[in-house]
Amino acid sequence: MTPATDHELSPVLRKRDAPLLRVENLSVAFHAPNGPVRAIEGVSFEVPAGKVLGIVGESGSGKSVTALSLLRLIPSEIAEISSGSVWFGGRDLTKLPERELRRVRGREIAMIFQEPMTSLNPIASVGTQLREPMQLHLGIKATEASRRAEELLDLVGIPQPRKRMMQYPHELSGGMRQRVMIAMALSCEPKLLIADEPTTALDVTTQAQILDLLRSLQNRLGLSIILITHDLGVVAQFADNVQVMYAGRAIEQAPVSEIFRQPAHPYTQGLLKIVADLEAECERLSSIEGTVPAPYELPPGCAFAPRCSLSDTACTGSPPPLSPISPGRRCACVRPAGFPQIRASA
Amino acid sequence: MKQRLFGKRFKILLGAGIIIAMCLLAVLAPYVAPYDPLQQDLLRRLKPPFFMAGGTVKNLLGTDNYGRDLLSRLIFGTQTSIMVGTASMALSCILGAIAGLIAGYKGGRIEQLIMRFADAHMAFPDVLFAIIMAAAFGGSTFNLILVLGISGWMIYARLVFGLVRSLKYRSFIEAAVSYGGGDRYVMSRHLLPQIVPILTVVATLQVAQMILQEAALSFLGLGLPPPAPTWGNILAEGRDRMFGAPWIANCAGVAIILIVFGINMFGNGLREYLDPQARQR
Amino acid sequence: MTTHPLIIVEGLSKVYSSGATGSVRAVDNISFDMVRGETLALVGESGCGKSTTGRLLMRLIEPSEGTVQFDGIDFMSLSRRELKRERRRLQLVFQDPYSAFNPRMTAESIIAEPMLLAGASASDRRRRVVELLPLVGLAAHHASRYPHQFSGGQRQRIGIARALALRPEFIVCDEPVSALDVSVQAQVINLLVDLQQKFGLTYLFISHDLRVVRHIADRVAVMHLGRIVELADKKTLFADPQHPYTRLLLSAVPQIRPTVQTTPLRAVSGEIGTPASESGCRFVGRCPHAVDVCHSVKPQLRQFASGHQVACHLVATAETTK
Repeated sequence: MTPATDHELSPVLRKRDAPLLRVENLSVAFHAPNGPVRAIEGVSFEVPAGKVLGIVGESGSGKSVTALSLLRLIPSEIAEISSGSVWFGGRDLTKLPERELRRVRGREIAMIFQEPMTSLNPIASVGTQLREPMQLHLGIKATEASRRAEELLDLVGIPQPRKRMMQYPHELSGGMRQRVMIAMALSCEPKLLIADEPTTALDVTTQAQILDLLRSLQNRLGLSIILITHDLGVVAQFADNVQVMYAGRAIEQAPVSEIFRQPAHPYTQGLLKIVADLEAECERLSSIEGTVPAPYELPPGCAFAPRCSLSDTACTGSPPPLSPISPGRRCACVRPAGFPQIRASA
Repeated sequence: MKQRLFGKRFKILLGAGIIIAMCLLAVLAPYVAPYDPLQQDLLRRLKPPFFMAGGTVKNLLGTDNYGRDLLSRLIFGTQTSIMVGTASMALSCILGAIAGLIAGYKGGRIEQLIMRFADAHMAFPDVLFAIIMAAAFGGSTFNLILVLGISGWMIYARLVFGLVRSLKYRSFIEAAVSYGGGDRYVMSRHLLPQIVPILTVVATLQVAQMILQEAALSFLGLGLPPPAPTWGNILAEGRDRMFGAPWIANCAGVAIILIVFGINMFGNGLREYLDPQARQR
Repeated sequence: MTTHPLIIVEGLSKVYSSGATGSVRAVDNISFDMVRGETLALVGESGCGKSTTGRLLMRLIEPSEGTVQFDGIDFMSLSRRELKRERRRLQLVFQDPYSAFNPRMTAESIIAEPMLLAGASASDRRRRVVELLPLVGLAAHHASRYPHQFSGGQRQRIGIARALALRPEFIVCDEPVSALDVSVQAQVINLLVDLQQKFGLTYLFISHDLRVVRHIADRVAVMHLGRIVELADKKTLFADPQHPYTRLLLSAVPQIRPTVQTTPLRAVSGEIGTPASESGCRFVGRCPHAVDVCHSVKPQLRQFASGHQVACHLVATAETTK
């Protein structure tokens, strides 16, 4: 829904349907020696309360930048938010002073990362790290924090919590470290969890366990989750809604049930065809010709046009905006497959 | 974007400027120095520099105990400092790099042998070694270079050792071995080019270190014997007259500070220049 | 099978002894054959020893026990010089396209390096590089570029070109597409298949990604903590897996259209342990069906059906049902 429509709803309706997080036109640029380089542009999406949004893309798609920018975690000398807003709890996170943003981080919005070994402090024990957010945000004393920490470890399925509290990250396996990270993230009972490729570095069986854990936690705690991943299979099994990103833009948004049945954007179609080919058994895999353009070499118009079999002059003017193609679905293409053509704005 | 106080380009330029100026002085010393550094003039002993009371422009930085012009001696001093500094750095760099390369790549007993020897050598006092060398072979530029060069190899060995150990397991090394590449091939073709940039930065900074050490050794009388116009010797001569004729020691000190500062600036700028490139990869 | 196997591996083992924790059998008594022209996939999770097996086969790592026969030649008995010569017929494609090349060498020197080490002349090397570039989908002007100027997929193509330089017969592909995006994976996989058909290559395809394996392999060997637990042709393995670990693995793969009919074993907790214990089946900690014998006796790889081997006490094998 565009912001304009939002304001027209009655206050009661707005409150009930209001998404937990709403990102509007977020653009982030990197500081490069030759001038700013666009990392993401015009990204808009919503996360309804209690649902899982999967953000999917390949390298260079900007999915991690998006996730980190929600909490302004990228240092300002590397990149900055050039425009857009992130609405959470009635406030725009991009405009909050640092002090107040810190109260949001870890407390209302928590994040887990891909590499648990580098995300955990190697010289602090598990217990110390678990207690820290609770002591900082909730002002709980150490003994009480320890008790809660043990409960959390139990919640995330770590056996012998008391023993684990004394251990150091390098003494734990990859899957366990990830569980510890999840426990830390949940310690202050956040409303939203951002998971940036949480299982990419794990074995496939461990990955399945972690995803199951996240799913069960989501059900029990009513947690909303943004899951960043490159794995379409993970998204299919885990997410409620999907956003596909390409070269720094969101190019398709849809509920999971619909997008895999009927992908609209040619890029999504291409990706799904490859995955489908891998899972079926065919002679030759279909592939998407060409490669993702580098951020400083983006073509005018649609970034996917050079690789798209359907592209024509209409695609090279300006990048197609993310437009609704059916209730709950949006697509950034003038010719979404199976949907009426969108007249490109002049 | 935040502007740093001294950008890396500024550092490199400033440092290089000082170094080049010093080198020019060293090369052109006979033409630039107003007097012969060894020429004594007992009538003009201990004259202050021109900017102090009693000084004249005849001796811009004054004269020393024997009436020798200080400026000329300092200018000729650049020759020794730069030559000894660079040559001893080169010697220790080559010795250390080879040792570290072999120790790091071969590992096992060879590694133990080399690195423990480095540890032992580090524990040995350099000054003692210098004393022994001076006593046995006398003072000469060559001996000075030898002493300093031998006492400095461990730093490079350790540095290169660490680097090689981390590079050893990269796939391209494994690939080269799988195609039949022998140890010497891998070390020279693959490992050496990777360590040269970092080695260059360290070596540059080490020249400053060597110059300081040379000055120290000369000061202790273990370097070139007087009346050689090295900065260390001048410092030694100035020491006894710190209250009567402070300019002797001070000017020598300033000269040392200047070149060390220039080298450090250059070296640090170089490191900063190479670092982001490496990080970008 | 009447065709003479290209590779016969028997009893291959590698033991690492680390003082503190005793010895670790990273690869434990592996045996298998490979026929010319086929693709055998080695699948497993981290620590299962698949990468080590690939290198043991080429004797890049010295095995602690066992033999490898390549085209009738006993690899283990070769001298260093003979090994260098014979090893040109086996090549390795590496996983990480970012560390597989010396960043200061041009693509041309990278591809030509094996030839340089084999003593080829400069003109021969040049000629071969010019031949190889279009074969892997690169252009002639790529020859003078440096690794950091290429994308991941392109770097992998360079790696493949390098592996082909000496016209090998056998290539060990160590997770060649794991570090690549999905769309690029497809391109590289197609390339590998094309090259195999064109040159009659034999592949040992090491991967943890069952989806990719399903596409490219003829036969699949599942490894767990240093041992092969199941070996079968592709169709059979995916349709009718016998070993509990294979089933676990297959059920854990996130699929868009779940077609694998396996009993879900997700409830099993616990993770990969270290390959330390000697007696008994190494999967016993995570196996929901473990019984007493599993703790004490190591299961051997036995024939279950034609072309299908399983190492599990609880699987009725062709031998035990006799």
